[in-house]
Amino acid sequence: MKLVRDIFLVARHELADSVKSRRAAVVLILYVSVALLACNGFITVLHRIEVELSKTLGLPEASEPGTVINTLWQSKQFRRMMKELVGSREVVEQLMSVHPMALIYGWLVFSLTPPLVMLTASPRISEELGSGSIKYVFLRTSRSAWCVGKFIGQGLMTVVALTLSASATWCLVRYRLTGMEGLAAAQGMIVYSWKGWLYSLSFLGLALGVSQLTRSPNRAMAVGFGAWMGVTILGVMSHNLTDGSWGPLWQGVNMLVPMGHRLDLWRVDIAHQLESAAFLVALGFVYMFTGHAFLARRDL
Amino acid sequence: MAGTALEMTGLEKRYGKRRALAGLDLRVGRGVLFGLVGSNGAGKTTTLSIAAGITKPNRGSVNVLGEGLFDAARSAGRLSLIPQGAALPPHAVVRDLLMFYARLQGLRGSDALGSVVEVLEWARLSDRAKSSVRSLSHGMQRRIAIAQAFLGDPELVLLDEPMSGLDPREVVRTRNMLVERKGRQTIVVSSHNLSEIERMCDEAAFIEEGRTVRQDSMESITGRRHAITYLLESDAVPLERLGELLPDARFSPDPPGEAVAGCGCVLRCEYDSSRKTAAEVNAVVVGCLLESGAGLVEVRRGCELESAYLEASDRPFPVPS
Repeated sequence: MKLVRDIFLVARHELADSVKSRRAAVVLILYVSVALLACNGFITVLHRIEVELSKTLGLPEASEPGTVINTLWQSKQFRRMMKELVGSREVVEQLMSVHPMALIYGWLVFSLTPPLVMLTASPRISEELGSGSIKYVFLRTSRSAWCVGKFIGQGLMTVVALTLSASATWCLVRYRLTGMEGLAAAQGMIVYSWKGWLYSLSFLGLALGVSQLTRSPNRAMAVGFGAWMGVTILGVMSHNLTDGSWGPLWQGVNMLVPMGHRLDLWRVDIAHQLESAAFLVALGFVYMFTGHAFLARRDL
Repeated sequence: MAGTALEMTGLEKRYGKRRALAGLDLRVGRGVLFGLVGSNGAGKTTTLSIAAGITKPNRGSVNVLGEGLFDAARSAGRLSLIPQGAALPPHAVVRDLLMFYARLQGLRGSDALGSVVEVLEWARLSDRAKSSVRSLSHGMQRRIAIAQAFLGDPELVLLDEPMSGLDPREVVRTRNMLVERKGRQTIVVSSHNLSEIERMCDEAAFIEEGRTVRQDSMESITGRRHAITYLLESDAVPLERLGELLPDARFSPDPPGEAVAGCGCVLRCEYDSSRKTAAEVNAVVVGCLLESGAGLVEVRRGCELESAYLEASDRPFPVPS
């Protein structure tokens, strides 16, 4: 019971401390601005494609982006591009019911959230180790309760940041794509921001795991980025090297990296999503407690 | 309060090749204000860190409040520490931070709030309860660190250099605050300031090179009950006459150290306190010294902790059997 209470207290303190230190504001601005910039860039590219398409077909040039997006959405080229982005034709077929801008937003969230999480979360524990303030806490609660509390606090901050970034991006898309179906896009973007959050939890565990290895926040951030790149490279390799004699090994590796479970988050059926979410949260805890095995034994 | 609050036996700790503790023994009774004295690197901070469970020993046994090694998950709120060189979170609001600590150690709702209000008043920082830690001066931050150690009245309080960074007025206040708590809690204070330790502690231990050189009550260490020190201008001490007047007492004249500049001799008188009081001894010795013209400058009961510490720490370390 004390363990659960301590975890709750640490998570709440982590959130409150983030607000007071303006760290939460920085995280929110970072998530929202990155989502806005990326989406704005995508819409600009989309408009150029539309202009080129109109010229090729000898049609009047589209004055606003998104005019032919529905036509584009049904085109084979676009579906091929989506298959490349998502990684599975079967999943692409499932996604045809989802608003295209929500899918684009989903892809941005899956791509950009992991490095943002590594950037913001990896120094969190190491800076308290470095300043020594952690000693005041470790007399009052177990080290593992404190780490899980940090994980939950950071996780809550990330879900707020992603929900806000989805809202801001929806406003931008609504402004630039005037013919867009607003409600369908909003629903889709919120759903993908939460899926992106589930995906980010494994990286949050990785960031907090790395953060427990060193007293230097800068070193933690550098190692965190290295770990993120390593996990991403392993994910790409394990996705593409499933054939041959090493195939079973790569399939095993694929289970241990977040990218191996991302595809199921794209699907619309609940069973795959739940399985994927469970794996990603479990991976987050495995990464974090791997680092914690070091912190639990170290002298402060 | 009877029993032992903290017991350490044969404690060893290494940091890489460096040996911080080399068989340290320590026993602190309950309700005692205990001083830990030693030179830089002697092992005081390591000793307190091990007692607080944030550092693990390589060898030896530790018994904190009768439960072995301190485990925060099991015994939160029974022990507290002011760690040396540990900063409080700079952005935290003082009251919120203390509430967080109070709740973590098991206090609930109004109890936690009551304890926070009490320690803030005790540290005279009630008016800064809503300030952020970073807006406080170094001395105030130090007082917050001291205040957090007394949240919820833990049974054992470990203070590592609590007076460092405090101005003289605050040193006196903090000393009085600690003395007020005598008997209510067991308090272990590590400090370089020997006069502070001497004034407030009931017992003390000298630590050098990771070992306990001496541990005893303050009265025994300084000889307050059985010794008197006389500072004299001249080194012509009437030892024979004193021996005739007080045959049970032992007189030992020593050349003064650097600390007693302007004196020609330091005369130490050790007497049997069960037969004579200090006043009776003084009545005889002071009269004799004044008659002899030795030039009595000062009379001190016992010797200073500093002298006892220097004497003890200069001794060769016992060879382990």
